[in-house]
Order: sequence, then C-alpha cells, then structure tokens
Amino acid sequence: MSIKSFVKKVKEVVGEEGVLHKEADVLVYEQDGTLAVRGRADVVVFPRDAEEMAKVVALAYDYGVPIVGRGSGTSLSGGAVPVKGGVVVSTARMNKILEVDLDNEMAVVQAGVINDWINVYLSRLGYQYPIDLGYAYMADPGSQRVSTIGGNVAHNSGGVKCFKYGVTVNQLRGLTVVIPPGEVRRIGGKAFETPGYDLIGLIAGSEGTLALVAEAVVRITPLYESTLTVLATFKDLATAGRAVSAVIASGAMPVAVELMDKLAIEAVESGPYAAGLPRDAEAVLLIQVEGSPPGAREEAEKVVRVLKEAGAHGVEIVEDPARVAKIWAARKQAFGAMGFVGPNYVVEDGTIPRKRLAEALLIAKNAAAKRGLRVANVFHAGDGNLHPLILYDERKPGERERAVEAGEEILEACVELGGTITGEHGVGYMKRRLLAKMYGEAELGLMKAVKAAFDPRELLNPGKIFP
Amino acid sequence: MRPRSVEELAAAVADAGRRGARLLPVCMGSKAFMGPPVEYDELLELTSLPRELEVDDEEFVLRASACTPAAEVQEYLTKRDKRLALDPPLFEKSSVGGIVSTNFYGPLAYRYMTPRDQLLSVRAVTGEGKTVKFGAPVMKDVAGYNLKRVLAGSWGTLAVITEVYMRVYALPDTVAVAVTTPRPLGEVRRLLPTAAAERNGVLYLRFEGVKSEVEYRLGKTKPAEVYYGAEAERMWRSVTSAEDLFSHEVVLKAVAPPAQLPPPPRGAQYLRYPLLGVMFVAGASVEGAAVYQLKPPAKWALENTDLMARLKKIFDPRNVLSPGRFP
Repeated sequence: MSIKSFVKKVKEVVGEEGVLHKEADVLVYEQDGTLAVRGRADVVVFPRDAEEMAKVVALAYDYGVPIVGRGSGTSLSGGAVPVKGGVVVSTARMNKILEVDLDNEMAVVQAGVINDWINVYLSRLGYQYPIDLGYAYMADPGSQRVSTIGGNVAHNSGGVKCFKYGVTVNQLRGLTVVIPPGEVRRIGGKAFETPGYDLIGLIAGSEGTLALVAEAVVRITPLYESTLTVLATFKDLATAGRAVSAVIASGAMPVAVELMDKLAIEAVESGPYAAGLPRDAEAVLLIQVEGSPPGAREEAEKVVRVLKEAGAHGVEIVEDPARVAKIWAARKQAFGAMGFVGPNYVVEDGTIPRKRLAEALLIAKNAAAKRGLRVANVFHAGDGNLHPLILYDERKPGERERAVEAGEEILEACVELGGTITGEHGVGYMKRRLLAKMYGEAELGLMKAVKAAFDPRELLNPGKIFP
Repeated sequence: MRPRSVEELAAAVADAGRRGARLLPVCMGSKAFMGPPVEYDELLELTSLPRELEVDDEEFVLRASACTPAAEVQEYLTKRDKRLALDPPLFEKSSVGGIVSTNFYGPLAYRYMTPRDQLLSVRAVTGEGKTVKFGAPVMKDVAGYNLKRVLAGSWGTLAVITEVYMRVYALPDTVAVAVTTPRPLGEVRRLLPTAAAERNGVLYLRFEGVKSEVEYRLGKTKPAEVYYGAEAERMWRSVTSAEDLFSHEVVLKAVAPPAQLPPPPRGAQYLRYPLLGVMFVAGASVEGAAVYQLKPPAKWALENTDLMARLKKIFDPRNVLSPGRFP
C-alpha cells in the first residue's frame, strides 16, 4: 500500500483542500521551534473535527504510516518534527472556541485554538459583563500568542503564571482525543473530578505518542482587581536566586517569578520589545502579585522589603501600566530576541531545586564556554525551571553539534542536582537519550508498556520520548 | 501481613502474585472500606514500614512515608511556618499516603488543586512487586509519562505508595473564616474567597493573604461572624473533616459542573464545595449529578474503563492489589 493510495483515500476524508503532499508544500513542515532537528513528512492532512481526525488516524494505522500531530509547530524538543516521515496531522482547521461557560468557569476549545485567543475572547466578554472582573486562561507559555491548546496539552506546557496557577494539566477538566486505531474518546468533561485512573493526566504531556488531542475543556480563572509588578536588579545571580527563595518563604503568593541574566537582558533590550531594563544588572527579577487594590499593594510592598533584605541592588514597584506591559512582553519575547546576540540557539529546559541555582548557572556557563559558546539565561525562577539559551552559528561547521552537546551536559547536571531534564518543553526527539538518566529499567519498562497498550503499532509520533 | 521494610513489602507483593493471594493495602484505614468494593484475601498493613518525615525549608518540598498521619505532617509543617494546602474529609483520621492514593480533596482545591496536582514525586511498589519512583522533587517535570498522576487516585489498585514528595506552602499572613447563610454561586464567586464550604445550611468562606487583602474581602462579604487565625483553622478543620457526616451508614459523593450541582436534599446532612461542584451527602439520594457511593462500598459507574483496564494490566497483571475496585 503506497503513500499515493493513502493520499487518495485521505482526500476523500478531509477534501482536496485538506491535504498537502507536493514536495514544496511539505517542506515547510520539516521543522518546528527546535532549530537543531528536521524530518520530511510524506503528506500533511488538515482535519476539521475530531471525527475527521479519527478517520485520518484510522487510515494511517491501516497503511502503517507514522502519525505526527502538529499545532503551530512551536515545540522546543522536536515534538512536531516527523523524524520518521509519514503523515503530519495539523490542527490548523480545528480552530474554534466551541463554548465559553462562565457559570462553570470553563471553556471548550478545539485543539488548534491558539492559547491567547481564549484570553482575547475573555477580555472582550469583560466589557459585556462589567460586574465581573473578567477571566483568563492561566497556563501561559512564552509561545502563547502562537502555540495551540493541542500542542500545550501534548507537552503539558508551563508558562510564567504556573507558580500560582499550575501548568497545562492543572487547567484540564476534559479532553476529546483520538486513540489508535482511529477512535474518538471523550474523557472527563465540565465536572471538577473524573474518578478512576487519571487518563487526562496520562495523555497530557505524552507528546502525541499515546493519542492526538482534538478538543479540551479548560478551567478559566477569575481575575483580581489589581495586579502589580515588582522589578528588582541584582549584582550577582546567586543573590538573585536566594532572593527568590526568600520571597517564597515569606508567605507571599506571587503569580509569576521570572529571572533574566545579563546576556538575556542585552538581547531583549536590543530588539523591538526593549522595555528599558537595566543593561548593567547581572540579573533582573520580575515578580507579579495580585489581589484587591489594598491587598496587592501590601503584598507588593512586602515583596519589596524581602528583596531588599535579601540583597537586591535596586527594587521598585512598577506603577506605569504601559511599562508593566512592555516588561512582560520583553520577558515573553526573550527567545525571539536572541537573534540580536547570536544567529542560532539551542534552548534547554531543566528544572532544579531553587537553592542549587547558582551552581547550575556556573555549570551552564562552563559547559558552553569550554566549547567556545555563550549562554544566555531566562528562568521561571519560582519553579526552579531554567532555560539556558546556548548561542551558536550554524554557518560555522561543528558549532551546532557542540551547542547540543553543551545542552546535554547541562541537563545531566540538572538531574544530578536533584532535578529533571525537562520542566515544560518535553523530551521529544532532542532529550530522549537523557530519559534514562531520570528513570531505570522498571520505570521505563512501565512507560513503554503504556505506549504499547495505546499504540501497538508504534505509529504515533515515533522516535520521540524513549531512548 | 505487615511488612517492616520496603524490600519486605516488595517481596510480599511478588509472593502474593505467585500464590494467587489478593491484598488490600491499608495505612490508617479511614477510607480502606469505602468506595468500590474490594475482593481480597489479606490486609496488607503498611503501618510497620519505617517512617520518615522531612521538609526542604528552601524548596518547600515535603518528603513523607505514606503512612505518616496527615495531622502529624501538618503539625510538623506548622512549626516551620508551612503547611500542606489540603483539607479533605477525615483529614485527622487519614495518612498522607491514603489522601494521595484516593485523591481525597477539600474545598481548598479551588485555589490549590488536588493532592494529585500537589504530588511532585512518588515511590511505590507495583502489583508485580517492583519498586519504582516517578516524578522529581521539583515544581515542574514533564520527563516521560506522568505516571505519578495515574497512581494518585488509583485507590491502591495499581501500586502500593510508600513515599510521597508534595509541594508545601508558606503559612499566609492572615487567615479568616467568615460564617454566613448560603448564597448563590455567582455571589460567592464575586467575593473571591480562597475556598468555600457549605455545611448543613451554613456557608463558610475562607480568605487568605496579607491582612489588608483579607479585610477587603471581608468588607464585601459582610458576614454574621468572622474567625481569625488558630480559631479559624479549628473551625475550618471541623467543617471540612466532616467526621460526623462520614459516621453515617450511607455516604454519597455527587459531582457536577458547579452551576449544575443540585441543591442539598432536604433534611440530609451534607458538605458542599460550591466553587468546585462537589457535595457529600449522608443517608439521602441525589439526582442530577454523577453520584459515587462511598459507604457502604458499591461499584462506581466509570467511563473509559477499557483504557483503565489496560493500565491495571500493566501495573498489576496478576490482579493482586485491591481487586474489583477499579476499573
């Protein structure tokens, strides 16, 4: 059974316009946000709903064709790259917000809905119902302006607000998924709890290797009257790390706790999202608190006091809303801004105990330096989630390989420091060899058995996660 | 049987598989005989396993042996200005492992989510007697399949949890519990409480945070009575533990989207989490919600049981652990 005949049949399912298979068309699907890996799909298919998605999966399963789900292709672990060819199932036409149910604080969306569209929709509702303060979807990866809910679920994406509100899996109440050999399943719904085994928790973060996500029921969260941002600068990173711990120990409940180092600041300040962050600081810490107008103010003042005591060089509550917006946009665009300090980068995603921050940073710096490379750092500091960006120039032979190598060295160190090889980007293709650093035979054996129980022909996103 | 070490436990489970014996793992037993019924030959009593309890002061990560009483954990943490943000029914009769194993949660879950969400890492012995560890003691980890979440809430049917790593929180500056008459869901929402519990016709709203935050919320709430600090905590514990409700012969748990949660049955004792859409009821039936009988044991109507059966077969192929309960 050839790809040609698969293409003919799949067109009967999704229509002529729902299939791409010419070389020039499939070329653009050979990469995702991970610059260091490529793979060529044989065909790209665009189902319009869960039922069509199931038919595509059924057909691919029948033909023995690998199946790779794809949202916007922002994966930073190679999650959306068809490393073994086959069919890329794009959710680009599954882009409807199906329902916003304020009474139940829930939204029902198709997998291809862009994360931030939910917030755009909700902010418009705020004007209609001024009695409410409004709502937001709280899992907010840096890519939220482009990444899809389906991709977020597949990777169990984090973001800056997860210190208070949790990661993607913590927002999920229900999922509609397609499982091999091509069946639509609804798991959970609008109820807070679905007793039995946590199938939602299993599928979230399984990186498209157990099921394709078609729809999600997500929690939306009421907003507070006031949000304040505290900006602190530090003369060294170790002090900044300790200051973060001090804030958390103080009983404050920040929404977000973000750190950027000097090179990362230089990058964002050189680009279109420049926010006037001080270029001479070794580290900048951003903390967002929320509450009632007096409550948020008191909490912000408390955070300021704790940061000063912990050795911050400069601390301020940023009062100008326009500047606040700029500062957070600068943080969220940090990866994109790296082009101003280096042509290419490998971004790593280890998590460590916060108190080992200084050590981890030194390891990262050395791992890059000994290979002639530089590293910029942005962190979700509250979560101990590091994002070392190892800068390289792919025009120089061997640099990419050295950057990947440096990244692996950093992640191995994260495990040795008591952390993990990936906090929110996923194992994907890039880190599959490192999974064995985290887990032994017994755990990997169980994970592989789960994979085999859901996908016996090993066609869902092959070549990912497992060593 | 009563193993004295994790090695003995693993050997005992493996041996039970060979003998064809069926086990019911139990720590303090507050929920061992609730929920879906278990067909078992022997109790697997875990209370003689070595006890460990420690907290990483900087990381806010707790490590506790499964059978450590939840109340003991809380007391230990309180002395260090920390807490588990968990308030499930029967808290004082529960072990931390039992709470995780059943994913029993209280009204605080609206803000802090459930035990499953707060579980960072878990050590367990599978139905085949293999010792495993899933997750990492850090805030975020997406390496490999999230099997720790699957073990949480599996009611002892996949593996015996021996140790948990949980996220803990600093004690808030101020805690207040406002006591008032029940109010419509929309109104409760707009007061932005940290948690809400309704018990036998009385609504309890809990507020946490810096002092001015709590006072601001209380000012909007205008309650009949307010309790602060230790007094508030005592009141909250007694309302949410609901020990008298759970002493009834028949206890049901009703779950629905919050706005569709049916009203409490007339005259019945109940505990309701309005913001979550969950209600426990003693001695009366509930319609218009998914209902799970906790006491006396009765099979639950679950969906996707075929997928759950695949997981059961992987973790416990010989059907040694709590057979009959799930799926």
